[in-house]
Amino acid sequence: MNKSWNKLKRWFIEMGSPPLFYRWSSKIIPWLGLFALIFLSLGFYWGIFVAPMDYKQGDVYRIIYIHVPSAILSESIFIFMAICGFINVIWRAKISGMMLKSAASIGISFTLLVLVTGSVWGKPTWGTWWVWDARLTSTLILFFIYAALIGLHSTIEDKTRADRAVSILAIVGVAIIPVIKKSVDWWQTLHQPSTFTITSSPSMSPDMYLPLLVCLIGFYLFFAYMLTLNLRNEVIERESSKNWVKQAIDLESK
Amino acid sequence: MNTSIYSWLSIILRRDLLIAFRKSSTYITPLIFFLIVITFFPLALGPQESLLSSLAPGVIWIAALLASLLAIETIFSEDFRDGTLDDFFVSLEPSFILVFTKVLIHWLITGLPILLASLIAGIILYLPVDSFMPMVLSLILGTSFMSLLGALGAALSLGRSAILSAIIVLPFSIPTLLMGTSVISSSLSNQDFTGFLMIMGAMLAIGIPVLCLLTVEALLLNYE
Amino acid sequence: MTETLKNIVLMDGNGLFVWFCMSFVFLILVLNVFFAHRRKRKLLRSIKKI
Repeated sequence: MNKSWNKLKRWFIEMGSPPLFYRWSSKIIPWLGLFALIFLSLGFYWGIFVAPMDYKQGDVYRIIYIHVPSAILSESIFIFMAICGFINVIWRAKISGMMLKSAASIGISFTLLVLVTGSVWGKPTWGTWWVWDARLTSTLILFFIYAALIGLHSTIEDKTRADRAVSILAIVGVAIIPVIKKSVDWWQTLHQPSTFTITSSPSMSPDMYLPLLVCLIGFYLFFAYMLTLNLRNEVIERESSKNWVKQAIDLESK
Repeated sequence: MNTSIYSWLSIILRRDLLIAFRKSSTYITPLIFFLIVITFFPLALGPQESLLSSLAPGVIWIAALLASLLAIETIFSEDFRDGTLDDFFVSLEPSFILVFTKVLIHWLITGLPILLASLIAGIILYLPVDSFMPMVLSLILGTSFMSLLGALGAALSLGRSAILSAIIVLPFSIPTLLMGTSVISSSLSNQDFTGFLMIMGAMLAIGIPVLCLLTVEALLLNYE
Repeated sequence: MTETLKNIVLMDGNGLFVWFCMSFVFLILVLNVFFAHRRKRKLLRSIKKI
């Protein structure tokens, strides 16, 4: 028991070193991609073709299989980025700074997905492309925060400094996002006292709920795959002058 | 050298106030910008009293946010460029006090003029007299928080475009905007507005230590 | 068989919305992977040159 715990700790510390991470990730990346593909295809097939129709919304509710996992992912990724930022600022672990940067573009993609699918879901169900309800509004704000983060990172030339700056922003962001959600919630009830629960998802029976879970797992696996892909690129780019990079690349092209 | 925190604070305060008030444009510009933005709303939306007074909380707050963002460039950039910021850090005096004083100066340059101008804005937007007090209170708390955020944004984007610091700061200022407008609009409908003021106060209370410390961290990034 | 196919494509008249979302998801996920691979190729090329 103790031996495996020590092994885990050693693996964790080793992953902080770019060349070791690069070698380990080359082995794991095809599996991540494969499992992501399996879960996503399974989940989508199940949700679109097999799951029953909703009695209120008909077939349109199937957008939920994209919308809800994207929403969960966009928020989890931000929390992940804030944790990476925290580690980066306090312990100066460069790899967590690179992880933050790698995760940001994935996070903003998912946030865009939430907004677009939410909007498209809204047209047939509530008759309008956009509505200022609490959830969509706070997602829009999250989108802007992601954009600010990515924009700030791209303007600073020294990438380690850029990582540190974005870490600070991510920390402030994760603290203020609950405040934003609470105040948007408040704002929405103040200005729209109607009991029009806009984001009511269809009441879920297991044959609707299970494909959602599968899709969620698939999206998380995709995030892991994408993160590793981006992180490998980051690592190569930052350490391109070092010897291990040339060796690793020669090894790959064989 | 054993400078007490208070004397360190007053040294920076005196120096920066002198610099700021040397050119009257430093504190007049946010005020005029604020009033111009306020004026644009009736121009764009029509002068009916009912419309304007119902929009007044939002309009005043949007103008206040934008005007307070105008001057954040100047918080650190001058000192960074001529090397005074290096001297501050090398002197080993508490950098928290440095940042706090800079935030205070920024508020005196932007928040305070906006506060005074808001009285005029309230009149020209037909805000009922009873709502003036809540408006002023919300602006005091809100513009101070904006100065804190502005300092962080300025420190992160030091030496780069001003718009970038605005893009960084604006999403984070949304709770302030929502709470501030809620204070004024709930006083318009004669409801209790003190709850929102307390939340804004809490944000300020947590923000002062946390944001100032993070701003110090952000400033030190420039000296890696 | 064609009945179920018709049902799937049309989705009770809302087929456009659902299939748009599906293709949008597919597009975003594929674009992410595509840009990552393109960046990798660019990096490999620049490193091999040096």
